[in-house]
Amino acid sequence: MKHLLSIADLGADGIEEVMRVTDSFVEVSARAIPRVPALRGKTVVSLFYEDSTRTRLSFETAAKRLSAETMTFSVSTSSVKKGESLKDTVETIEAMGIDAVVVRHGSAGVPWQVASWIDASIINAGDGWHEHPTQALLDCYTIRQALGGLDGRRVAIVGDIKHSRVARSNVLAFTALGAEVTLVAPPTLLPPSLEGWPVSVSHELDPVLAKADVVYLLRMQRERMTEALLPSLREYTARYGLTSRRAALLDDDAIVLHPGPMNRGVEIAAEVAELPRALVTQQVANGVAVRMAVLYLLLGSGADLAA
Amino acid sequence: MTRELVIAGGTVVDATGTRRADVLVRDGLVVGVGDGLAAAEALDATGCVVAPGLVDLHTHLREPGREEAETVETGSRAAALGGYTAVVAMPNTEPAIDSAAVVRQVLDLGATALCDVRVAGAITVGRQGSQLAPLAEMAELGVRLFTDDGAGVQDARLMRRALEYASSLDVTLAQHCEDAALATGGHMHEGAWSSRLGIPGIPAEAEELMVMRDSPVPACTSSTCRRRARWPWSPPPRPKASPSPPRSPRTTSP
Repeated sequence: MKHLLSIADLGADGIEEVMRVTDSFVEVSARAIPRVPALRGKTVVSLFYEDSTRTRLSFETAAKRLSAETMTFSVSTSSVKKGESLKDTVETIEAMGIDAVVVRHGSAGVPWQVASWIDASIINAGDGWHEHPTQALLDCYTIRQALGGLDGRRVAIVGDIKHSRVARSNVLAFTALGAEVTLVAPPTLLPPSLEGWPVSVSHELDPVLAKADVVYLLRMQRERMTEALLPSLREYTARYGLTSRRAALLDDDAIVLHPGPMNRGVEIAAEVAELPRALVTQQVANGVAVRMAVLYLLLGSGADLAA
Repeated sequence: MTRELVIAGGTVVDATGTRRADVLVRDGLVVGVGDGLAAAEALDATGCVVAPGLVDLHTHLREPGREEAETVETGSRAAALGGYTAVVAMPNTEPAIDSAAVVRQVLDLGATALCDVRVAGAITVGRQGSQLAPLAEMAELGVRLFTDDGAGVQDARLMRRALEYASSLDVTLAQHCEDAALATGGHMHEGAWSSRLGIPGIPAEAEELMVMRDSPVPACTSSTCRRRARWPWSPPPRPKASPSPPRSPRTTSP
């Protein structure tokens, strides 16, 4: 397969394949010189229309560790400010000879559009509220690392599901691997329709915590306050924040994940973020290895990722 | 000197149904539809649809202001190619069709177009929804339909005033039913697919609430107040039918 646009393109087998390859790249990242020549001579461009620190750096680190050349296209310093269209931008970049484009954009579907315009491999690094496949892959990997797998595990995804590309990709990935997923949010932060979603829903967090193996917290964006979705962040934290009191309700082996960046004091208490069961830094470390695996599978070995 | 033409062998589609039939035309008027009709001139319509001219009540001719997208001329050409003999141009042009001047401009362009071009005027100045447009001035030039199409008139009081004022003018108001506060930010219908794709949706209520707000209600403030729901086009009275059985469909100027 040529692109990674959606978790749905991978299926359970594809996800397992990525995780298997990630194992070897975790080992590479632990070396004194964490570098392999697998993608030498290839060029990977980061095309980020939205601000991002962790995802962009993660992809660039992954590409560099595979010995690929990297280019960064940053919208704020580009001719996009002069009104250049997405299509012209993308075709200009391709004319310089590239093998892969890692795309992040505020509108759902952009990676598919870009894939229709140019020949390079396209990796979706987040398109609007729609999907963030590599995040879901690293989350699956982290859960497998901590708990041995996802089959039969209970995962609670808590927070602003409606506007979350992470939630959408995670629901697809976790359920594909056999987990039971419960969404926890107030009604205003759930998608208008959950028809076809293989999930349970709860508007109360406490009852869900006692049975959860994984609590996945989403960032509560302060921007949402202007949209009348919530009365206040304070009320959100009171009902849905993972406070110390709530963290104590968790099973001893339960883990806490967060895609970052965390709003300490909102969706997660500062002291809970420091608990051993909170694996956020592990997620970030795994992110580089997972993205190495994805780049390698798309540009390197020729092994098929398709479901 | 009578001139007769038969349009022969086509598929006639009209108010009575669809069937293969010939159409006899005398001095520019349809006088018969049936089988085996003949005349001095014949037009072979084999494989063609023969129908009364279609009328498009909601056409965007984009002129003035967006001529790179469409003009009255190109739009009328496309209309004629599709069997439309009359179109009604929507007023969401730049500037909007909210005054006699712009009405006049579009009608003049339409005079040389390939089909009849009628004009819908805006309900509010600039389609901004805050001030009534000069409806009577536009009606003087023959405008019979008013709409802010592209935007709904959000202010309930203004819409009520517009309906009251227009009730003395023998015109129709058409509301673009979309509550801006509910629709804002949406790119598709809000439902299962918008939820799955993570695309902001427009809830059905955005349309339904405005339909309910502006639809005819029993308690009207004025005995002459006539409110209409969206697109009931009121044709002018038909001329007295001259005896010519069987009654044949004819194009009426809209």
